[in-house]
Amino acid sequence: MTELPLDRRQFLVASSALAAWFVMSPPTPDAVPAVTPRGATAPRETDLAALTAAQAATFTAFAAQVIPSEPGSPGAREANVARFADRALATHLTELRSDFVSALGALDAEARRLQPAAGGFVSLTGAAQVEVMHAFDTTHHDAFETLRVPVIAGMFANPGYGGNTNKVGWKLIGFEDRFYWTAPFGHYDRPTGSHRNG
Amino acid sequence: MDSPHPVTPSVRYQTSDEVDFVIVGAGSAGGVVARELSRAGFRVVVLEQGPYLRASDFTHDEFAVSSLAALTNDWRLSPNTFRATESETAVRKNFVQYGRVVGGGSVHFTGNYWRFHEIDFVERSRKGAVAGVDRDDWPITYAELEPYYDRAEWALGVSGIAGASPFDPPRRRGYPVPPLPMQSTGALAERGARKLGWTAFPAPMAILSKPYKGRSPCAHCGFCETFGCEMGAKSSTLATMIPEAEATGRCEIRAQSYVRQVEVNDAGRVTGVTYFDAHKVEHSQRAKAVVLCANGAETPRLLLMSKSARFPDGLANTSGWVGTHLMCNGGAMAGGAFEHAVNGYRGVVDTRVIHDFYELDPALGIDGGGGLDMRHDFPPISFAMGGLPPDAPTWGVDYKHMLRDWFTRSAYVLTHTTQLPQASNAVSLDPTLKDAWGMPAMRVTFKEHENDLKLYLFMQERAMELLAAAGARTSWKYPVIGGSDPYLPIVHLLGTCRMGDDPRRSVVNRDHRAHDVDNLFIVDGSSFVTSGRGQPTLTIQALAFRAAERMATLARAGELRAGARRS
Repeated sequence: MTELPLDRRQFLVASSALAAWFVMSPPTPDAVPAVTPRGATAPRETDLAALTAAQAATFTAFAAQVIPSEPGSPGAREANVARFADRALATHLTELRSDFVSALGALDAEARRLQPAAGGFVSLTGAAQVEVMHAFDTTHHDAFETLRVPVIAGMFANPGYGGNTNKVGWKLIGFEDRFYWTAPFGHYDRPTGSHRNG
Repeated sequence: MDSPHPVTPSVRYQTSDEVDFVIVGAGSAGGVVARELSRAGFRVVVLEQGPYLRASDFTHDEFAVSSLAALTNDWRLSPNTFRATESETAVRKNFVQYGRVVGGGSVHFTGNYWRFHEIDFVERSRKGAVAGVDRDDWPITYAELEPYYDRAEWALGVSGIAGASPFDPPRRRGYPVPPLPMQSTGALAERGARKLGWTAFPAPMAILSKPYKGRSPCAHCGFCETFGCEMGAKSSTLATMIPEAEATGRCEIRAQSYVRQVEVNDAGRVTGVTYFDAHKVEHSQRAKAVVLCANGAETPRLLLMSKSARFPDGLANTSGWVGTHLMCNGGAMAGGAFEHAVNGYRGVVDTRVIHDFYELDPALGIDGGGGLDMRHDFPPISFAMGGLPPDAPTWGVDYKHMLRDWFTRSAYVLTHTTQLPQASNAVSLDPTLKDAWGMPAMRVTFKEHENDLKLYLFMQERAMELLAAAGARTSWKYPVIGGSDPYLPIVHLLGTCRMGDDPRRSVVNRDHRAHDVDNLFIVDGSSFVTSGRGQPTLTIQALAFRAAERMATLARAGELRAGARRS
């Protein structure tokens, strides 16, 4: 057998978790509850349909380590990815709720293993959370991906699903959702672009 | 998914009506056959598993569409099982993916619309045998198919420019509309190719650059690959052939109709099909002839499910070749990040193609060949999951900064290659697992030939060369993921009901007529003898135009009635 050029485990497991979030029944517009952005905080208990407030807070803390908030640059917390995940797990992805909640429990267990005095992941300092993230990714990689994938989906999916509030995900990467573009599309197809000069 | 808009068919037949043709599958091939036969005056019913969506139903919603479950087969309802070799017990795996809407795969495909080259039809006689491979020449040549390539390009609407590729086979005339405007990915491909002595030519695309036949041109929104076109600018059969078929008043498109059996009479002729409607209620549609256009995986599955006393191994399968020799095209991918904005998410996916490696130097010892294109392959969610190098961080500030800095500046080289036909690579019926309708699940046995993996790696090296020559600041390889890998499903479903002159090693003849059953035709990727180099849709559709012409001739001669005898 020809040797494959790269270790692909991470790629494959990530993809498998992605598939779990995507290959379920696709939502139809009326299956997704209307969303009223409520600002850059974890959802309140009364807003939640699939998760408890504590679970949403833990997930938000995890998400804030995956795509951190920086001055002038919102992250997953401001995108309201917990609201995205809650809506999805309560509607078209109910099959995934059990695994999601188990992964949150495993994250807290990892936090208590490394910091026995702490109450769980959400109560740790930022530096301690990073330490737990590294350990969790290593020892429970599938569970790590079970939580990471909805962070990404919630950061970059259409805002109508409850995340990507104020399109912070799209603005971060420079994506604009338009129905038409005209040339030049980028730097290299400009009439005087560097492909002709450089 | 239910069809959100009630569709008023132009004509509605009773299942008890004996129509002239029932076509199974309203995709790339079925749409063409339906249009051609109904315009020729025949009464046609097209049964399609999926819903009848319209352009207005399509969105830029990556979360809904990226799974493609909105437009493709749903593995929860129609599970696959997989094994690499016949000695293994197959396990459940999402392995085969195809369009499952009216329009089929032509709705969500990227629009690459390559003709096969002359070599693709005669590779056995020109290149010789390969160990473990049942490679034959096609029973038809490029020259015989050329008029139908032309007909497909002009009937559907294709952007391109004749003569731009020095490797192009002969053609009688140019394209109906000029090439689409060049993207930065295309400009970079041109720049790299020029430095390497290769040719990056304007991509032939089934997407309109100018108004054509009353349809609007592309608005360059960028949502082509895996999405349905909201403008109707993509030349899917949904936007072209299907409405023309319905306009005849003789063609009924019956969506959400899942065919489970082709019916046969005592004389060994087919009499129609039995199918489930949207409510899983069974019906039987009578017809003088049956045309299977259900794709290279579902067509053989349907034949294998259509067992009878006369055909105990499955319909039209006295050769034992139904379902065998599955091919899906292969390839490998590389990515690069550039200094300035590429913005490859804007506009059509491909604007330049490279065919310098369509045929390889024999000294390499690698059979087959392939093509390359440069594109941006990732909408936002997919980019965050897979658009960065495989060794990039997956969380944290560095991950965030890479997403921020690389989305607009990344480009990817995709390669599209030959896959060799091996008897053991096959679609069959799982002995235990059933689908949501109680029918046997599709089982796939697949292991790539050693040659094909060598070819992928060879092409990946060319992809890396192209990125470097184009000026990428950094570049990376993606894992070579073959069809037997646990990650990607296979598309381009080819070769499972081969056409040929010898009934012992093919399922249909050169007219797509089953060797065993005179009024049964098979027209889709399953008829392919070899895989070509990727991008099979145009060849599927050219074959469909040719096959429909032959069917019409036979029908007019009175040969296709259920009780007729072969002349």
